Amino acid sequence: MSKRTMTLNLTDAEMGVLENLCAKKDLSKIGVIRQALRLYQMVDVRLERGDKLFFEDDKTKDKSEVMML
Amino acid sequence: MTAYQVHLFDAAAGAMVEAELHDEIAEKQLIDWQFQWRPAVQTYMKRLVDNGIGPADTAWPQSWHWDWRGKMNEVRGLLGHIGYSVVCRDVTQGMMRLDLASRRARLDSQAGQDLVYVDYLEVAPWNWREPYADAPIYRLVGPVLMHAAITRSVEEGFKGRLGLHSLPQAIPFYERCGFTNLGTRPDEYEGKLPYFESTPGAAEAYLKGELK
Repeated sequence: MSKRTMTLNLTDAEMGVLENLCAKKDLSKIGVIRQALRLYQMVDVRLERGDKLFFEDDKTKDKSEVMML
Repeated sequence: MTAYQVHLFDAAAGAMVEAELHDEIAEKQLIDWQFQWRPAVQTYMKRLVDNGIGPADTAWPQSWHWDWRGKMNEVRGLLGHIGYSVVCRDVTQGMMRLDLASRRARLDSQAGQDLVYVDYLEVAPWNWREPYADAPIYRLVGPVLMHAAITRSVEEGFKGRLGLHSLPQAIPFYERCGFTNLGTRPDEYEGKLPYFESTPGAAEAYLKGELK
């Protein structure tokens, strides 16, 4: 699989979030960004299909819709 | 598409033979499924019926209804899903669909970590080892695909973490792989499919060939 290189400029706050996710998820920076891109694309495709995005509380089963406008 | 050389066991010849692992499920695989796998499954199910075996019996193939074309259409173009296939002598011998993005580990030691989730894994019906089936033509198709899934997990930085829900007929295979059986949940697959997960240690043992 061929790969292409790009430079990514992040603010301190963005880099902080990225580094925290790396530590929490035990992933490299590129690993986190790849996962983010995959999830963002998946959510976007599902929303375009007309699906809705919900978070569900595992205990109470309460659902809250994430509004993507 | 990248093709990797792998080896299967040719049962009739009693010898290992070269095969290819592809990091995709292409139209060729779907045509093989449609025109070779499906008729073979129908023939096998007819044999089961002739022997008094019906859908409620444990010998009934639990993946008989899988529609690989539909399964691949569902995820076409999505970065988070990838297919693998094993081809030997120009015929597809096994297929697997992976989810790289939307599942998280459940074992206490790795809860919340990313993992590779095996959506579906199936070998061609002429390779099944089932009570009423003919002897398998090729063996090791399932282990080759599992090796690919674990390798992908390592390449993604997931350290070999893998998760899957197993059909009851496949439970012994995943137990032999060294995965942990976390049991069933009533809100998943009608409480019928147990969830298995591999740790980095179990994955490393698998890749080293330390199968039980």
